[in-house]
Amino acid sequence: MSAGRLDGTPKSVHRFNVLTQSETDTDLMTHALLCNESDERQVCSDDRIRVVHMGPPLLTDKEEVHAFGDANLSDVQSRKIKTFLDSRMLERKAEKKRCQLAGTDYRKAQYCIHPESMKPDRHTPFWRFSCVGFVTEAYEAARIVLLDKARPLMTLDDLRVMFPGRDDTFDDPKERKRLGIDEGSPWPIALAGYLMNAMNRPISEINGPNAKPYRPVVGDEYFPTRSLANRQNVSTPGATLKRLLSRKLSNIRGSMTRYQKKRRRKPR
Amino acid sequence: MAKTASRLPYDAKKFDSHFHEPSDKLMIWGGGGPLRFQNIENSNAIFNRVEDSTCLNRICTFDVLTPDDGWLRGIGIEISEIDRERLLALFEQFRAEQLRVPTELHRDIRVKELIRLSSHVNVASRYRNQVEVSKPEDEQDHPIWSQSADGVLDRLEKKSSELENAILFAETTEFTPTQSRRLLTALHRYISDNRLSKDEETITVLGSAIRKFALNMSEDHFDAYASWLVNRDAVGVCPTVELELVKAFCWRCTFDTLNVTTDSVNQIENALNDVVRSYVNPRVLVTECFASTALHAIISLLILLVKTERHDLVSQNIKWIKNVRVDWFLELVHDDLSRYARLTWDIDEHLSMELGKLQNAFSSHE
Repeated sequence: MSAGRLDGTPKSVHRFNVLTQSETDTDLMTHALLCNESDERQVCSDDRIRVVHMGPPLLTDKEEVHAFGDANLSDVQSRKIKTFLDSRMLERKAEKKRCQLAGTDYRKAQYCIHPESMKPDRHTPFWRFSCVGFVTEAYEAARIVLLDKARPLMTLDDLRVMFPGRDDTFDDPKERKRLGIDEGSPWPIALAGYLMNAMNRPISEINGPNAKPYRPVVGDEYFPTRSLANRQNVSTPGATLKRLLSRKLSNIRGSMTRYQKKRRRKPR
Repeated sequence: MAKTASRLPYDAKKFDSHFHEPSDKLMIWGGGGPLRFQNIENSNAIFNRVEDSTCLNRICTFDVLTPDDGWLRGIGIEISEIDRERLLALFEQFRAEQLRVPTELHRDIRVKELIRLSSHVNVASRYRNQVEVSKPEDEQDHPIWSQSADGVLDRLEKKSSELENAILFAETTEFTPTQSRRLLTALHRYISDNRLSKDEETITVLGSAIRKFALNMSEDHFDAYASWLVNRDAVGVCPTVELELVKAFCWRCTFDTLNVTTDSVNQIENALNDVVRSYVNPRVLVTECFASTALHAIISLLILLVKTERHDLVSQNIKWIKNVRVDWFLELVHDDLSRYARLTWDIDEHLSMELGKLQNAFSSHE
């Protein structure tokens, strides 16, 4: 597989690898980034990596990340992603300047939640992205469609969990309208965990002639996934209990079957 | 008695002030948005006490006349000199806290608000019949004028010292059609005066101006827009500015209706042709941002030719581009045509279908 959590063991990351950050001490992925290191680099979980991401605002930065995914991009694909990023750079500088002048509230001008990318118009003459949308758009420039449009639906309460620390934004109807989450609840939001689970497939399924977009399911907001379909040996208390119960149940069934067979054989 | 001045009209809704957990919090609010109060220089302001609170001791509302924003209304607290010093110390402490720890990390919403406010609070105290206002040091002004279209336009038109800041804020401000005409005039002037600049700060502002102008301009502005792409004497347009000009024009063509004739697009077409011929080249495309510039120029040019129904020129241009044989770049053109075909469907179905056909032309390489 081409994705994994970062830990104490150095792992290779390459330019434009998909990176995600998680909530402290959990597997819930809350932010997506693109690696912006010019050369291959060996990194551990505590290392700060050069990244480009929709903070908001759109930033080139150095961050600690918790998971990485490698689609084995070719030079041509990297060139295409770079072309996409080049188009965004001056918009990024203008937003940074606005943030400096006006305070951090302005960082949200380039940001949206649903859909994960919004085209320019008269009032907002630049593309807006969510953090995930920025990564998926960059990869689409390289002809890699990471996520399927069919996704689990999220309500506003779900979003409060997925986007921690933004209650004041979600409580403001004007802000919700700007972000695209004022009407039509629930919504098929693109989440950072979906991206990392999309990257956690054979390379041929991500990049190449047989590649197909990943269809996320409930539980994929975590990495490793907690989906019932994809879970493998995830040791949570619920899983352990379920295994114990099903073992017990199958023992009881076995006993019942043996008893019934005995009764049939024994003449009355 | 404090001086009074003739009242200018003010927007009561905008300057509504209200109390929040009064008395023990010693908060001062009001003016232009939630919990904000503009910092005002004492010497430039005239204060007028309006009314005293009927339920809270020593709380009053007052009006202050400022040179930049006219009348503002806020809430004042009558305090002694000693209390004033203590308050200032308290807010200095909060500001230091704000610098040390990013506001976002504070989980308690009230602490967050207090820290955010501390850089904007003025403490008003009575002193010899003159209400004075202290101005925090190292303040970061959140300009209230930036929150309204009229405030932004005012600074754009007067070419004030805040012109460049106004342009940055104009990019994310909504304007009515009437205001848009004034906006375009001001942006046009700024772009014409500065398009050849090589200064990084100016280029950032230029980018904002260009994007806003392009997405709001009518077809009548196309000739002026084309002139900005032309180099003059030995001074060229910076590649970054050129990218913004071409990119924004491409967006104008795809994300808004386009009513053009062959004559009306003659100049812009020539300018775009010049860009395409200059940059679609294996050596140039991998340098700086020229691939992105060339890509947007090609899309724009093809759209103009399709809209004016000059299909022979469309074929000619496609043939020329494909002959350059930079496969990865041709793939980019193909993918962008596909993408714009999808995005223009709800604006111009015919254009969308034509772009879809052009995409097919780029998918077969000879």
